[in-house]
Amino acid sequence: MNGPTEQEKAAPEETPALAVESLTIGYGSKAIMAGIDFRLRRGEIFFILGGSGSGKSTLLKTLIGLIPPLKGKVSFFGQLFDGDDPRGQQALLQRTGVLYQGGALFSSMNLRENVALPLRIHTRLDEKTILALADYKLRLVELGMAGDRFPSEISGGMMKRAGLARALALDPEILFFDEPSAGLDPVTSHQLDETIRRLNHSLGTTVVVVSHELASIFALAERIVFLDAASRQQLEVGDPRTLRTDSPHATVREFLARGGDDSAKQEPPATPA
Amino acid sequence: MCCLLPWVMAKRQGTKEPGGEASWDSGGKVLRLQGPFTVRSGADPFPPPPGDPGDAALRVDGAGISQWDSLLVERLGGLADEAAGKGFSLEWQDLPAGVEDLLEERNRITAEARAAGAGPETPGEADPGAPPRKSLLQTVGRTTEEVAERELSLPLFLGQTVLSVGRLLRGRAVFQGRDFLEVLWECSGRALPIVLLISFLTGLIFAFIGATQLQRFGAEIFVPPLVSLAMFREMGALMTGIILSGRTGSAFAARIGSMKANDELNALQTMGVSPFDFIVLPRLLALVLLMPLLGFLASWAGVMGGFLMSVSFLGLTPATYVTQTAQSLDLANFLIGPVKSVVFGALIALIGCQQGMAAGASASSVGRAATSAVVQAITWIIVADALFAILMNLYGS
Repeated sequence: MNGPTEQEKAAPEETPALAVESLTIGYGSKAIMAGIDFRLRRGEIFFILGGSGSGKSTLLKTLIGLIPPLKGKVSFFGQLFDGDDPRGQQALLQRTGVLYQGGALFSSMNLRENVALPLRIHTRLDEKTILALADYKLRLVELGMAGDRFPSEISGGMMKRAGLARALALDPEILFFDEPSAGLDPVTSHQLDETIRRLNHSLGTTVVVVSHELASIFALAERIVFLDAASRQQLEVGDPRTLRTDSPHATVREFLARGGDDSAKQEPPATPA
Repeated sequence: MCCLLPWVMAKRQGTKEPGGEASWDSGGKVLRLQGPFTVRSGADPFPPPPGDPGDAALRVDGAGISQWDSLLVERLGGLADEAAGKGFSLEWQDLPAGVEDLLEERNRITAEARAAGAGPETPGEADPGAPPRKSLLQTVGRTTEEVAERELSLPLFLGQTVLSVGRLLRGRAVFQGRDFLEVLWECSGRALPIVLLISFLTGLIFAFIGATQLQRFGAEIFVPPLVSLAMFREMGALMTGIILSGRTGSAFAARIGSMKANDELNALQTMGVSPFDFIVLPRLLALVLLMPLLGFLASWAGVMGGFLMSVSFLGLTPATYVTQTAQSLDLANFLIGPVKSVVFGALIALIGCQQGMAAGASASSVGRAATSAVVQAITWIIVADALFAILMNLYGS
């Protein structure tokens, strides 16, 4: 388990963007993972790692309120994120954005309408402004020309970017990514990473990514949490570059070292000197 | 049966050339392998060593092997397992290069699998991918539980839908006009030809059946009321319901199932939109609005069918047919069809959407959802129709 020092380092005086306290996740009565505990400071890029079946996706679903936690607390910006208070939960969700694995675009709408939907639902802006904002978000992910296209007419990488534009519609303070590189070729995946980095840099968005793409982890992650399927616990929270060599857990070291060389080639600054 | 089929086909397509042969030499100490040992050519299983080998050392001579692949490795491995079990030892001689490495690899993974299977289970390490074999009793129990769970989710679904309709009435639902129009068009313009054709033929068939009986009493004059009553009270709504279950209910289930697989339902939820408002409501409204209309037109098509048959085969004049039909239809008979149609439409939409939302996230489960949407919708439509018949009998209309 992570030591308290790690948390203090991560959460200075300000309220954390996201705080997870001794969380148990799972479906129904079946717990998948227990004792998850970490805090994110604002503007951080944080990765949720773990092998297959370790509950990464379940954790993400719990964090965005799709399934209730079995135990423990989740809070955003110091406010409790609680399923018993749907209104409060919804208000917090509007400050977050989620990019689902396949983009989750609504197939009956073109890209512009997809991006405009959250604005239509949650704002009182006039039609012209909504469409202008939607086009602006599409340009942010380099899809400015594709607003009239339908999801069935674009590639997988474009779908993810359009999904990202929709996630950005309400200018969220936290963005969640579910396996952003899944199904993408290395180049497209790298471009998406760059987009994530740019958004984080320019808008100060806090970013939470579920992934096992090591290239992305070393390119982007400031800190990671590692979920271990065997012990059903989180093993580490911290900087992946130090954990790769210094983690007391062999599982974590192995996981991070497996692609160390590749990532070193792609991202020279990522290799510890 | 279904598992035999590929085997039969493979047998037929298999090459004619014979597989390799394995035979023990006269002393029963050396197994000579001759010819190809490949999956394609096939080869008879190795004969067991003659007599009881005891703890003798036996030899496998592979000098005559012409071709080999995993079949050879598996056969040799099986022999090695047998040797280990019975206590005789084996040595390989002149095996093709690489076979021994593969044999070692095979023994290693077999041993690993065995260790994993028989090893003591530590809590937390139980493999969820390999459930223990269930007894018949367990299977029956689990299945009952699952079915109960599935069916119990229907009231929950209905409750959510009612809430959603409430939001719509208060003007708070996020309603997607485009879906609504799409479904309207899908169930009207596109469904109309087939609905009319089927109903026309149904009316025609009713007229024929009625005529064969009524002609014996010279009562052909009652064919028009028979057809019109059947069409307006029963068949118009029923046929439309069955056709729309097949083409619209299944489409709902498939569409919503694939939306679920693509996380679209989750996306709606995190966006703060109820999937019921966004997905179920437009479909429910479209069907509830359109079904009575379609059913009504279908009933008329049926009457046309009866008209055609009566005029051309029974010798009724068109005027007689029209007056007879008009006399038989009072307001109650006109209204029963549309009332039924509203109920049928709601059933089709709700079952289609519910099956879609309950679908798993795989391609095959989307297909299953579509199938079960059709089957359940038709079943419930007929059940509802029977209830209507009983109710109307009770109230004598």
